[in-house]
Amino acid sequence: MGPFEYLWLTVFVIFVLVALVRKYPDELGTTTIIFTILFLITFFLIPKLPGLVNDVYRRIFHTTMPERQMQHLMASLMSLIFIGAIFASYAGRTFAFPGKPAPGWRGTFYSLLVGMMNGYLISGSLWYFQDYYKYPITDFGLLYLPLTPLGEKMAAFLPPYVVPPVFWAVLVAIMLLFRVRK
Amino acid sequence: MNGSTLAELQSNILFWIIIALFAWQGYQRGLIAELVKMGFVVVGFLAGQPDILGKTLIRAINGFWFAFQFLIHGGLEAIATGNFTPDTLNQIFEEINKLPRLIPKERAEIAMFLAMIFLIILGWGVSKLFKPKWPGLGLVAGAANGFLLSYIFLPLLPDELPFKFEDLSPAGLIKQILAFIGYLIELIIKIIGQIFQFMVDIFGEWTIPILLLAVVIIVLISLSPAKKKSGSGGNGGGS
Repeated sequence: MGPFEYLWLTVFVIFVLVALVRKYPDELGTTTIIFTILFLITFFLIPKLPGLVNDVYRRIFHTTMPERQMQHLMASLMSLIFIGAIFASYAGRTFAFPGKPAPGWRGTFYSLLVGMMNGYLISGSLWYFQDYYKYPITDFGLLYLPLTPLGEKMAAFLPPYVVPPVFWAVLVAIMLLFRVRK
Repeated sequence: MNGSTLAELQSNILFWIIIALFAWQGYQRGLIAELVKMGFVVVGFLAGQPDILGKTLIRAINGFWFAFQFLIHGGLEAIATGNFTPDTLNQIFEEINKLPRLIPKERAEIAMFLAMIFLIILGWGVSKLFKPKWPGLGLVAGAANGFLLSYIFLPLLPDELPFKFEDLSPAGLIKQILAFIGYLIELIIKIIGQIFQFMVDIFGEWTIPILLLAVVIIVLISLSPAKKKSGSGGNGGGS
């Protein structure tokens, strides 16, 4: 395993542990926020934001932004927006789901399942922002390329690559329907 | 004690533990639940055997898949409009013959194994619906279920242990425990990888969305509705 895989695995495990501690009704609130922010990022920000930034940059500097600079900016911006949304979902008054969790081992199993899903979505999306913008983080020497064969395989299954943007909205709708049921 | 003797001993111990656990569960759930469970276990076992029910099951699943493909590739339209001419049928069959099977030959074995596991788990779930009756006979039927499951699953365990009890010093024991944990992790990753690969073969690029949707729905359904508090103004969930 290479550095990206280890980082991915560490973030994944941390969120699984967090879910086991918080229990899944609370964690489902975070899942809803993740689905929402992934929809906003993949449906609006990734296709539209680079053009918008380029327009502003051209008006100020009378030239287009160099490609690598744009990749750095976009990867950092997307990661910050995403991390900000995750932080907001955990901080203060949270978007927890009402209802009693399943008792005993079933409750723990569901918490584990939701934790694995959140871990995959969070670590996978952060990796995606690097992969999609050609790994700008490697320019700082913090992590290095090339990816190992396992890393290449894993990178093909990062959430925004395998889930169509509109499907995030469908998931949000389902979550909200269950959130408001009586 | 050499590896194979120890493996045999462990296998025997495991055999009796499984029987005891299932007998105890049978005592709690009663005879009818255990008989239902036994039915599912037997059908599951037969579905896992290629020569008995396995191949037939795979053929049936692939057959249903082709029937479905026939309908969505113009068959349904032909039936609805009455345009059931040889040309139309030829065209549809030419099209669906090019499609890959839902379960290809190289994935048949794992499909049978998954079908067996599914039926056994389903039997376990269905058996919970019955009220406990005749606990004494349930104990005997539960033990028989344990025996059946041991017969199915114990031969799947490796013949040789993944570690050796040679060095019994604290450092040696820690090393062996770590080797065993590593073996378990590798085994879990291998099993999950195989199941995931199987799903990718069937659902293709929709595998992850389907998995996400399945997890979300299963987990949301498991939440039982909260009791209304008198005078509360909503259910804003603070944690």
